[in-house]
Amino acid sequence: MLRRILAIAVIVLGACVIAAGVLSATTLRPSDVVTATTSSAPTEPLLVVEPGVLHIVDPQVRIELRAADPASPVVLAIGREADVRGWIGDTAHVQIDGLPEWEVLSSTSVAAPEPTDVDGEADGQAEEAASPAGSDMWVLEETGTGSVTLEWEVPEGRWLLLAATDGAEPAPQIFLTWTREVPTPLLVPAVVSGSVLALVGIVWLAALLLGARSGRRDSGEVDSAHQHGAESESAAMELDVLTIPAELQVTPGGPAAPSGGVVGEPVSAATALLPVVVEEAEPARPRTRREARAAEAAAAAAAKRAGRKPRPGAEPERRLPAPVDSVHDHASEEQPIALPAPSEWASSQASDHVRPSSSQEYPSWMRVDGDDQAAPSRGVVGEPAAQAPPQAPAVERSEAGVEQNVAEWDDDAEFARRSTWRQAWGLPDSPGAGEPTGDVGNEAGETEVAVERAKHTAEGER
Amino acid sequence: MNDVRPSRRPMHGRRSAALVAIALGLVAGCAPDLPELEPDAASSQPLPVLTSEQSAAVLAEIGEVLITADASLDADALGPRVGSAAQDVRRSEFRLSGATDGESIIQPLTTDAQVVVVAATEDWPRMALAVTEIPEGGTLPLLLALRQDAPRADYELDYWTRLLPGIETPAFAAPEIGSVQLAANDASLPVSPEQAIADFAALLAAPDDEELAAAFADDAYRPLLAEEFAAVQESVEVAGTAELSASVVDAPVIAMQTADGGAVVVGAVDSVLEITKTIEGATLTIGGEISQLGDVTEVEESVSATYRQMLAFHVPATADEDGDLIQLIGAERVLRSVSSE
Repeated sequence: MLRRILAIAVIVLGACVIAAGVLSATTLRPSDVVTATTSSAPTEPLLVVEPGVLHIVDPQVRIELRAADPASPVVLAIGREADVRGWIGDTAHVQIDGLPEWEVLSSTSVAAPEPTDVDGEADGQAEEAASPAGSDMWVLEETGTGSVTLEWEVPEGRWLLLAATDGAEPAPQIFLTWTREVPTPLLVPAVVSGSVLALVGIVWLAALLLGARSGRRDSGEVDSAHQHGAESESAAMELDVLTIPAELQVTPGGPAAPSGGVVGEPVSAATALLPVVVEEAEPARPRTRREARAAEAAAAAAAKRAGRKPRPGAEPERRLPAPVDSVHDHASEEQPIALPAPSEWASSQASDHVRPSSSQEYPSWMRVDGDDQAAPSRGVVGEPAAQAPPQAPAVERSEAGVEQNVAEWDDDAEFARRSTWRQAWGLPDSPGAGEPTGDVGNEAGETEVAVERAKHTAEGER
Repeated sequence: MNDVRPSRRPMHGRRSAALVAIALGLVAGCAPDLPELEPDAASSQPLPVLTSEQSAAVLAEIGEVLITADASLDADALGPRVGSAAQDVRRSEFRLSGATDGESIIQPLTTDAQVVVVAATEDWPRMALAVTEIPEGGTLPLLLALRQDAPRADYELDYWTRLLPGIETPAFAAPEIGSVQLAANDASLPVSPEQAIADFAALLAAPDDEELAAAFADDAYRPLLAEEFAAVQESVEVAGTAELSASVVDAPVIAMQTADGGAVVVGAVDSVLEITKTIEGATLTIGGEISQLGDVTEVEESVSATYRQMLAFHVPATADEDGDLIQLIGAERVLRSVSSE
């Protein structure tokens, strides 16, 4: 923001410089015409303009004489220096001899000499007051009443101007008018520099604005991308598919094998019995609250559809410890399975995000040869269920993985594990069974479960 | 955002201060420089005292005065523009014309100049010469001599002469340059201007003096005088005598240097013809203009007739035995007065 202000300030400064330059050449420019005069009217009867003053500014000069009395005669005479000085003689007169300022003429007063002589005689006869009008010596002569104006182009040579009224009264006041040259040296540099400044400021401002706009555009795309991701996640949630963390999933391919951990991809084709979603989670990360919450919400929904009231485990995440405990309690109530302590459970998960290398590393309740109450049921239902496990994971996973997994588990072990899992979560092996049943119920239950899942899947898709 | 606003105020103040400084700089920087006083240098040589326009204007003014005086036959009208010597001549002409009932003509004058010769000087008096056209009614051109006595005086017609027939006026310097004006006692000439006139006056009084005559070249004027004098002498021979005397008129001599270094000198000489009756009881009659002007018909004892002549000479630059004598180039004569006893 500050930069924009600076850019605008530069533009404004450039405009001001241009305006100042233009002003200096137009309105602020001194006048072309200058009129100069003496500071006061003369008192002597004769006024003489010294050589050089008439053309000091320009050879073309406009001379104006104004007498104090508008009715008195005014004489303007121009002659050669010797002629004029000879004519003046010893008479008192005022000399105009310079231009100290543009509108001021400087003058010197010359008084008549004292009419005394060494012998005491008068020094000749004093010049009588006489008007210079009519002398044969003047090259130019103008006479008038009250004022006289003359436009003259001063030729070469030393020319004097003699002005008088009638020779006895004070001489008229003189006004000299010239046209002068007024240079405007600052116009071009000011306009050029102001234009450069303004251009620099405009370019800078444009760069700032364009940069800001592109920045916004990028961030908008990112935001929309985020929105799209959130939408896809919620859609996945709506599918109402159970999600199990990758570390809990038992597949021939192992938790690491799932194809990229795509969110929301139900492994539905093979796992018709138990469509699961491989959660896109880092196997090493401990299960987060969100994951736990999502899992419990899904479980609660499934429980609702199963007709069972939601477990307390479906409560908000804050009560996560409670659901675990209640699961624990519930499991201890309804099932004879002894769940491992949460700490053991979590630690077992955290320690091994890859599929356990040996069955020993599974929690006891998951293990086939576990010394818990689940063993008998597993054993009971082991054989009929032996056919089921290889179906989905074997088809979808690689043969190598299948071989491995097969090596790890027995057929009935898988079924037993599933039953155990169901029991761990308090889910019926079949929709209608209240307690974990044996072999007969299992097939039916599985089929019914599959049908239910298919229904729910269809509903979710709708 | 808040951190920007405080910085705006000092920036705004700085900006306005900068603008004010720029404006002041512009105003001060644009003021034109005062010009220097540069009068032209004074000319090394004196300038001609009159430009051609000025000389023409002066001659025109003199001509108007002459015309005015001629119309009224009042010589006093000549006062402002005609010098004393010439004024006397003109007055005499008027008077003589009146006395002779127009028999004695008044010389027609003109101021239409062919050649104007002005002096180049910064002092006074200042002189100028002009050779005019042939005046209407006349036969010979005139040589006018002008003079300005003082700065506040006008140029006056001091002398005029009729150029003698067959005389070529000498060449002068160009009017833009101006000629040198010579003093009456100028020593650069073989004979000073005033001396030349004096010599000629003496010659007029003693026309037979060979020594005096040797200094002057022949001219057409002196024979006329000689002829007239011989006639008077013959007429009074029986009962009287006639004598001539001449004197220089006390008036400023006008001398302008010619191109060759000589000079044209113009002055006035009064000559007196005195007729004296030597035999008592004889009757000596006088006729002509003398009797008309003097209103005498008979000489009682003596009659003096004074003639005024305005003469113009060309004095050569050097005196040469082979030639180049003082040449009379113009003369004008009038019977000025007659007195009888």
